[in-house]
Amino acid sequence: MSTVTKKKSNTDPSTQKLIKRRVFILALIIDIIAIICIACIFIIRPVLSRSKQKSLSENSTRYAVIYQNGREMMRIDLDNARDNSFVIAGNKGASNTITIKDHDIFFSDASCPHKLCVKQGSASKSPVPVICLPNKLMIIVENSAEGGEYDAIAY
Amino acid sequence: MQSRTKRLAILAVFAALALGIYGLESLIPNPFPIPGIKLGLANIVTLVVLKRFGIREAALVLTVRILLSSLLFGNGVTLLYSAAGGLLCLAIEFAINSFLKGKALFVTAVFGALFHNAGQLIVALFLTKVINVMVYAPYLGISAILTGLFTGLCAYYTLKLLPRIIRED
Repeated sequence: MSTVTKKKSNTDPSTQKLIKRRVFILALIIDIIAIICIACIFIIRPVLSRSKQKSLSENSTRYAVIYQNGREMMRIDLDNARDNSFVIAGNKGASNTITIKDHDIFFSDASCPHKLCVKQGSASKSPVPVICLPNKLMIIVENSAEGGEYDAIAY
Repeated sequence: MQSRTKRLAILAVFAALALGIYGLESLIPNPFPIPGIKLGLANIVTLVVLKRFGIREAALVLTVRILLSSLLFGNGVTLLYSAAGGLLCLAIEFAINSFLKGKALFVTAVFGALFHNAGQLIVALFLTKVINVMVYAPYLGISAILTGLFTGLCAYYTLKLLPRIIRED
């Protein structure tokens, strides 16, 4: 600590004060960002998750929609789908294995080292889409009635 | 002339160091199910070069690191993510660093990390064309603040402990 104060004493007190004020302002901005982020995680996400669970339970037919490069490439009727798994190859040698089991759908394997898409788990339980960034793949579980909702945003 | 050669050699060592740190860091498994969360240790080198030399040298080291790392460990997509994140990060770090006249390095690092994640999120938004990736924004924000504090402190102590041969022209 002593070296810090020694260095600061080299600059004149008015600039020191100015810098202190600037650090304070920037720290305040960081705090505000942190508070907004925490608020988003604890307030908005549960609300989203609940509304999704509700809308999924109201309608009996659930569809898993697989997007690649932002385009819908597959729509699977989860309630009537049999258990199986398939590989989707994609951008620059990346490939993902998608498994359907007990009317649920998830990434079961990936060619990338981190396998974040596998860690995200089941697409119907997750409040947010399950995404694989290297292969630009996304699985969303939605009602048939909701179909096309994301297309409006995607294009 | 001699000092120019020395500077070039030091910058090359820093670029190699950044590449090595980046490679080591990619071996650490991500414990969170959210893509993009990482310590950002390579940013320590960027900060150190930015403070010791300047924006031009930092940009040089960063560009070399990004190009080589995507060549060695990744592909075109990772290059896009790294470049967007890294350059945005460097730009804001330069701005904040001159705003604070080189003091309070950890604040600079936090802003750098925040803008790094913002840049990557924007690229993800463009590549996937799906608005839902924004769900990750708050998580990335929190992680950026924490890792930014950490890398900022690392850079601060690295600068203090730099050997004299690097510290002086």
